[in-house]
Amino acid sequence: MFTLVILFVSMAAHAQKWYGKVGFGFAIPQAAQTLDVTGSIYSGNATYNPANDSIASFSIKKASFSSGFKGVIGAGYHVNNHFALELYADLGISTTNYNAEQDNVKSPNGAYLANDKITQKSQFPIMLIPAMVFKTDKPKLNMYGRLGLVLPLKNQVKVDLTSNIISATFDNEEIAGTLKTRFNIGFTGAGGVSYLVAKGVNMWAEVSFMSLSLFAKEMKITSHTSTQSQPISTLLPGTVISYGFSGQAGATQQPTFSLPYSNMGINIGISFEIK
Amino acid sequence: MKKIALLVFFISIHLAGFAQSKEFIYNRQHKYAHKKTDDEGKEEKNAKHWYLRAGLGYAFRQAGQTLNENSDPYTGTQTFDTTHSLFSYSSLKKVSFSAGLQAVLAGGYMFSKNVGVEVDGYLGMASSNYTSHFNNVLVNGSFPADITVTNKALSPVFIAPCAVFQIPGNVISGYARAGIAIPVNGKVIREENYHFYPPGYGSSINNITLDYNITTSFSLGYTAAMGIKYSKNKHFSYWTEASMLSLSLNIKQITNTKNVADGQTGTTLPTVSYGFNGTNVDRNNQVGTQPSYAEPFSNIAINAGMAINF
Repeated sequence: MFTLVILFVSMAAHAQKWYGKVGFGFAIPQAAQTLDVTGSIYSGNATYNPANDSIASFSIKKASFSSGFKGVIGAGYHVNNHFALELYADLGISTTNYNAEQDNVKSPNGAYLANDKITQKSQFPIMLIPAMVFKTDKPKLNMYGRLGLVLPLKNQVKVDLTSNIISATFDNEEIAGTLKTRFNIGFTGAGGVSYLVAKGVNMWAEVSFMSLSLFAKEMKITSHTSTQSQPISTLLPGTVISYGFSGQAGATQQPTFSLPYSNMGINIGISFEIK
Repeated sequence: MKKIALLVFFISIHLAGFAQSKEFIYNRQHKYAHKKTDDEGKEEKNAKHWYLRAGLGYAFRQAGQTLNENSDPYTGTQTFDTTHSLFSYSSLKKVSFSAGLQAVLAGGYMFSKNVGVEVDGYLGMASSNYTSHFNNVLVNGSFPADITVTNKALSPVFIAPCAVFQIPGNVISGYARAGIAIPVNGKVIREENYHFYPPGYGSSINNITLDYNITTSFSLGYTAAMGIKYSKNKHFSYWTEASMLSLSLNIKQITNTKNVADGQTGTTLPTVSYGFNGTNVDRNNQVGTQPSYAEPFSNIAINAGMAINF
């Protein structure tokens, strides 16, 4: 990859100039996942039949924690008329809420039933993306392609569980936690068109995709409320569950799993020359 | 959204063609600011050509998964304690079923020296094997066994229509490619080997082997690549590139193809279907349409080969 950059940089350079770009877009789940580490659904609903431990019905959807409304801001450098280097940030401004409703869920020890609602949402994910841009060199309308690495700078998922205990002692418990992920490199690509609207200013529109999954590192329980003085769940505030590639599984340690972050998006914006 | 993306993709290609034809008309009318010489015109005409390329590559797992549809590790070791209430785990790794040795076959057309279209075919020639070991498992809650499970894609095939961008050079050219990945074959095979100690499972069985075919639902992915091309002469060149594929395929069906206990072939187990909706589903006994799960197929690859220009 480094060799490629050097080769392209060493090619005839007669359009060297800096530029900035801003834009926004919407991303949908791609190469996504339907079930989480426990086999529970990320999005949709399921009703269990406690009599024979079966699922009476379910309806599920794919999830990716980078989907939703996003902003793009960055800068680039035209090495020549056909090649540029770019560095930009992909900001998850309003990410998708994933709601899973599961009714008649039996507790692990079979002592009670609960109606659970789990909401998972990525909290303002930020990806830093160094990329290479290939473009045509026409007076007005140009095509371009972009390829780059995805470096996740900030990623955590907020998890809210509301559990209504519907058998034995009635209880309503609300547990909130924050799931942190490990650093992992992803890849991104885009193809689009740009149009010169004024001297030094181009409008652009593109289809982009990102291939990324991030492994769970730890979940910290941030709050736990209960209508009972003795809550059933032992996940008290401050509890940290760590996820690893090896270890002894138990209440505070589990095998890691990867959270889906791949997406496909449509983005538009402007780019402008920087004198 | 996918339809819109496809529309934008094809409009982009159409616009490229439009831009070329518009430029051609412009040139014909001598309005182009820097009028092209005859040599440049010939060069542009020569730039339009068909080509074929072929090569080999190795794909590494990327954006993969560690756990399968049963929340069991794809790779590594899981050992249960004597009470089977706890387990230890080690050597978990992420997997992708498109990883391994692959062949690349492609044909394309360059509209100009900078822009073209191409259809790529990726054929998995020796896909990676993923093996996990489960020790001290109580099968059916009663029979202790060690279980080894191996998953492997069965010659995955993808077709990828792409847009191509090229920076031409006299000898060395740079190029980038982006497109849609269409899975033609996304089948996975699974082999489960049970070793019971003491012999058990109803009738003093020592070993059971169960083979499964896992078929997946159709789903679009995305692919991109970047590389360089070394032209040996006008018609022949070598190329090398880094490519990536972003794709996951949802399990559609798991079919038991082999059920052998201590060398005796038994009746195969019922086929299990997976979907996005279902009713009356018994997950323990795998009855009814199970909630679907996405098998990972994303990768990053290094490929090299040769190309012929026509």
